[in-house]
Amino acid sequence: MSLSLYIHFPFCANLCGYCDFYKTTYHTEQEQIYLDALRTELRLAVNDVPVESRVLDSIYIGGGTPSLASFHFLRDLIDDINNYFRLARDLEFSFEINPESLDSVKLEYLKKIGVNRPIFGIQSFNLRLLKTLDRKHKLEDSFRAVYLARALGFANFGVDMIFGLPRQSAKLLSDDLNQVIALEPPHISYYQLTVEKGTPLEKKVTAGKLRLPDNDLLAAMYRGISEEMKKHGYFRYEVSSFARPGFECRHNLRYWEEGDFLGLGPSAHSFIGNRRFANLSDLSVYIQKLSKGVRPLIFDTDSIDSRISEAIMLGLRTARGIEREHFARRFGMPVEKALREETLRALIDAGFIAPDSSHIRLTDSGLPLADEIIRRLVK
Amino acid sequence: MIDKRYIRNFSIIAHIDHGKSTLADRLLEATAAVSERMMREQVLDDMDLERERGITIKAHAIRLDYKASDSQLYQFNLIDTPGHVDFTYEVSRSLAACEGVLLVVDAAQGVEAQTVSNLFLALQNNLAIIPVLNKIDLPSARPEEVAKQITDLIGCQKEEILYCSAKTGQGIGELLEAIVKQIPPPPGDPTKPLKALVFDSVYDSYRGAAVYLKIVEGSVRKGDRIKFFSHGKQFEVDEVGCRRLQNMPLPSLSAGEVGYLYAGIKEVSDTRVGDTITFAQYPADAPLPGFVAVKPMVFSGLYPAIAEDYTELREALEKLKLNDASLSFTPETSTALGFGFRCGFLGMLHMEIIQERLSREYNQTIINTVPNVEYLVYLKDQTVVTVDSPTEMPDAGKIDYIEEPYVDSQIITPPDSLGAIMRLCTDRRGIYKNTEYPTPARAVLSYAFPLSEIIFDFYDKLKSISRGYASLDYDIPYYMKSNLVKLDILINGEPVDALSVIIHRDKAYKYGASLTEKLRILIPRQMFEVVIQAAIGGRILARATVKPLRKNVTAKCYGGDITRKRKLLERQKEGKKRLKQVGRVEIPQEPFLAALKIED
Ligand SMILES: Nc1nc2c(ncn2[C@@H]2O[C@H](COP(=O)(O)OP(=O)(O)OP(=O)(O)O)[C@@H](O)[C@H]2O)c(=O)[nH]1
Ligand code: SF4
Ligand SMILES: [Mg+2]
Repeated sequence: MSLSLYIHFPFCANLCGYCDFYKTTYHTEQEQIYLDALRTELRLAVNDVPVESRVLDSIYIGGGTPSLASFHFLRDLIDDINNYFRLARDLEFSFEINPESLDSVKLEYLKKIGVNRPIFGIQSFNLRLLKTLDRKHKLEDSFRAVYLARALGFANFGVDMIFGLPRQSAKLLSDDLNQVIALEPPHISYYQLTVEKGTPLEKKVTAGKLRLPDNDLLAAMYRGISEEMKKHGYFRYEVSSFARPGFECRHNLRYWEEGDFLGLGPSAHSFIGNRRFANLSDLSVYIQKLSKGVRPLIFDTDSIDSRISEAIMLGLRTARGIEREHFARRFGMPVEKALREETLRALIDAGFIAPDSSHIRLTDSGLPLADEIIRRLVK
Repeated sequence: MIDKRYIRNFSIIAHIDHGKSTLADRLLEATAAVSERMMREQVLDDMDLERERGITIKAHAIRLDYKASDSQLYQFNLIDTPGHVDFTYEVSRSLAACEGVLLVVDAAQGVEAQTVSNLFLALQNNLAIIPVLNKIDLPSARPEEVAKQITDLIGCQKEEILYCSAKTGQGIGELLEAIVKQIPPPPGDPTKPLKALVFDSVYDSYRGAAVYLKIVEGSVRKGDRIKFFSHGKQFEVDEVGCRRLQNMPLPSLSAGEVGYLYAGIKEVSDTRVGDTITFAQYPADAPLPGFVAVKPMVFSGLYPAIAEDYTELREALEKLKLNDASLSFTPETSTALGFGFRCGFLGMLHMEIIQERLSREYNQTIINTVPNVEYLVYLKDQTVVTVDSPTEMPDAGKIDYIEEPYVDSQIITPPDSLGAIMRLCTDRRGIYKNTEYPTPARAVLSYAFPLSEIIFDFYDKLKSISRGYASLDYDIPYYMKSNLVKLDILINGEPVDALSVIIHRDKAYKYGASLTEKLRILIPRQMFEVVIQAAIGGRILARATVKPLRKNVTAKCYGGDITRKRKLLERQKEGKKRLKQVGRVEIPQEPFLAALKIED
């Protein structure tokens, strides 16, 4: 049994109004204190992982803005990881990068420590739209990042994009789409903007200061993205994830297919041995607890129903769908037993779900309605 | 036992908001019935809802001791009454317990409809009337003009009117003296068999119902076996006493006195307002006149927002009923809303109050259907059925004709709003009778209205078009033939029973069109198209469609945070319990509630 490792870097240069990831403003001293805590957590966490599972086949460093991390931070961290774990020969090592905080030296360094899948948070090529997101990078930062990745010989890299931005028209989306396709990244994540509770963006939206595209336009945008991606050789393997064949993100698939993963840093989540747990989303509590040698964990429910809901929810979001055999082995019952029979039949009739002998999956018309379908379907 | 000659029983009556409760405050203060610490505005309005809405919902009795200028100590029994028409019967029973009234008139508003109807009630009960011109401190007060209205109305002398301000306390001293001088002591013989009038009751979960009563003949004390005339049930008296701000037990109550008694009465429905209490063994030969079992006038279906709360809702209604004999409810089912209750209310205010208490005191979230009155349906087979719910309406083919309740009403208004008011009345299917001008400044319009047209928002409309000056009062309903139809709402072809209404044929189209349009906006988009239709029988009057939902999928399962996404799903599933299912269509509460706010 192998493991995936996620490490959260909870600092950003400035805080974007739409974002609800756990992060605070970057300070050098804080980074050092955090490093110490993180190394303690790693040491403690490894103890809880059976020796035979201490093999990593993917690492993902996300944030926050990990591309702000100092070389020293990264070096110490990677040294520890190498001490505690064996790395799979084909390890996938992803690293999130904000285009404006990247230069060739840094990218070279990342390559040197083993990163083989940089992900660039481009989001949009339109300055006005980026501004509504409070993102600070410029068009040239984005192009340069992708150029550097190619120049340094990264065979695999990803670009993150967002659609459904305030005042984004179909025309503006199509501009973004053309630009990102022209860069030919092996992997593209195209997320719809989610207005998260408690964010400054939410306040502006509820106050009527920003208007989001309506449901019909969003649906058309999503359809447009999916079709355009397909035309250019990208395969949609999950709701928001598009990849050239062979470049699917192994780390994310691990989340969706419910393999074991260990998450470190405040707000990071883990799933090991059928148990879900997470760290508190609070840097000072995190540091304080670890200074006393305690992991700041909260555990999720252990109930079988929760695991079943998750399996359905996650499975239906992927192109592969829910694998019948795997589901039956895991829960000791056929997947149909966990679904509302009548609803399932109606959804199949309506062309939203296509079951076959090995899988149950959503069709192209079902996927954009996945939440609605899952809500109706799950018992 | 106090000498009856020194008892004064009186009520304060007025149009709504003319200052009854505030005047009661001043009387309480002046007689030191309430300490300064305990004093607050409208102190007798002790229910939260009364305090919040600033209105009196239940009659409140209190005993005051007043040392008059003749140095004699008098016992005052004051009953503060609600002003709203929904509670007219309660007022009439309170008056039956008195020998006099303070007829309060707001010096700025002048005589209004309930002033007139309450005055009639007082006259019918042969009560001494003390006219009180209140709020004379207001800059907008028109004391001369309103005094003239009062003398015209009562036929009294200008000099008999007391001028006061319940706010500043001006004139209160004179008022207290007038009560002593002008209101006669109660009649009644303490040596006769007991006859006591029930004018209110309040439920107490420990002791059973507290019955508020006036002893008309005889006396009552702890240990007496009593019975109620209307239903004959017998009880043994635990305690008698009078109301100060709290209950004050007394050895006995005798003819002329107002007070309370406890007798282990478990249900308030056993203590109906207007009933007569007498001795079980040596009963009086006849009850006091004037008792009627109050009948609900407005009906509505009440359903729990979440089906599983049905039992809780039933328990809450049962508890409310303990305290409110005029509330009625019977179980009913709806295909759209599931299990619920058909409830009967005295009027719209009463209905609102019950709903608010359900939500506030019992934490119930309810969906209520469009309220309606009670119809008499004459069938072709010569039988008659009463229908208080649209779903009970027989097939149109079987119906010969339908009658609906009408009321004779008086609207009092300054003549300048006459035109606008008459247009409103016509729109509400009013049948014009006549107009009188008791004074040049006031017109009294008489109309007969279908009750259903005036109980909903008519009063508010009337107030707004007359800038607050017009007022409305109406009598007991009677039945008249009417061209009524049942209008149904169909969603994807399936009738939604909870949205059916009984409506006049001429109004059906407009109502149907505006309701379908409202529903179109409020029914959330589904995965398929939703067609909403309004229909009478098989005939479609209006139609609207809700476009299908095109996209609903969370972009991202945050990192490994699967828990969050699952919890969201669980919350949605929880929320789904609040959704009502009509065929494949899921409908939240709002569309059902929207039907309540359709302008016609
Ligand atoms: N200025 C002034 N305001 C008064 C006077 N008397 C009452 N008010 C105000 O008039 C409003 C209504 O007074 P209430 O005493 O609640 O009237 P009510 O007749 O008991 O009302 P209901 O019980 O709802 O019928 C309140 O805001 C009082 O403060 C007065 O003499 N002068
Ligand atoms: S969007 Fe990225 S850069 Fe902006 S605050 Fe969130 S984590 Fe930081
Ligand atoms: Mg009052």
